[in-house]
Amino acid sequence: MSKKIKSASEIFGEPNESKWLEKAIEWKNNASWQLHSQNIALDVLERLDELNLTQKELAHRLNVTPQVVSKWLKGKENFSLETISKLEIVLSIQLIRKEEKKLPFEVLIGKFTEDYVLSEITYSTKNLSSDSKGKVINIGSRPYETVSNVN
Amino acid sequence: MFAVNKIVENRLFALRCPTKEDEDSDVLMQIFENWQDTSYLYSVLRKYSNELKFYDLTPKEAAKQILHENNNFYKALIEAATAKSQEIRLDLLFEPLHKKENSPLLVQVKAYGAGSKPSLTRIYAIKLLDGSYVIIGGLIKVGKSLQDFSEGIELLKEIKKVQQFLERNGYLDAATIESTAKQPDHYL
Repeated sequence: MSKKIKSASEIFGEPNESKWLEKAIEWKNNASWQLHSQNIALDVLERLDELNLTQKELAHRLNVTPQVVSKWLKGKENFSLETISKLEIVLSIQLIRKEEKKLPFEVLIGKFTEDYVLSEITYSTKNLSSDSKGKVINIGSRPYETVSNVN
Repeated sequence: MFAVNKIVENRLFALRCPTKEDEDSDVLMQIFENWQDTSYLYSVLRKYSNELKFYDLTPKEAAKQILHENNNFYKALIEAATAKSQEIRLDLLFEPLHKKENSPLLVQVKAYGAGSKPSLTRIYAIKLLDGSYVIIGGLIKVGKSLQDFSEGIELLKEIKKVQQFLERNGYLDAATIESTAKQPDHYL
């Protein structure tokens, strides 16, 4: 006779609800701007290395507390243009670059704003023809519906 | 003694590991928070600058790759956790580890590398016989095998402890390992 297969709660005890989902949904809702913040933070971290500058010294140069700099460098700060400009001047670095590539119109008006992170979009759809209107297109690994009433 | 937090009802759990800030924290929460923290990522990767040369990556580039490869995993998990039905199959997210490296019950999250680049992160879980998964831990993998660096060795110890816990509780023995190895999809 076969033994009953134990479930996880029979082995580990009754589980608590993880707070992960709440955090993850918050992340997903903020993913598009947070990715910019993370890229800025990484550029600053690398530049500090190049200049052999500590976070404390950066804080001093910008007249802010080290805690503020520490928070910025975690990549969760919704930076103001003023802060970005100050960082650019103090570190002699360009943090905002003009993106020459333009996204195809079909992508911009599709389901992009729902859950897509800008960096994931490949430019494989760049040359979409008018035939693609109203059809499902693949961007990266995900299908997107194009809009049929595009003129 | 190990306890778990629930991620997806009856199907996915994570080992609880209390921290000073949050006594209800679990390994998935910690992995998620650490791997979204650019300061943390950069400091870890900077330590492995030499190893990263093998991948032709700077610490900054490696951090960007990790942010990218984890996005897909988190989105899939959110979908699984919020889906009303059980149509999202977790076995599409996890894959058995190579037999040589560990027990056949041990699985890892499928690699989400960026293009042709190999994935730099690993999340490990144990698949129970009822088909559910328990996430044990994760790491940024810069060496060829887990034995090559201190974080990998620590994680292997943790995996061993969980396996011993399961054995002590009569859950895991050589026979179940063997049968699972032969029929990895039997319990899905």
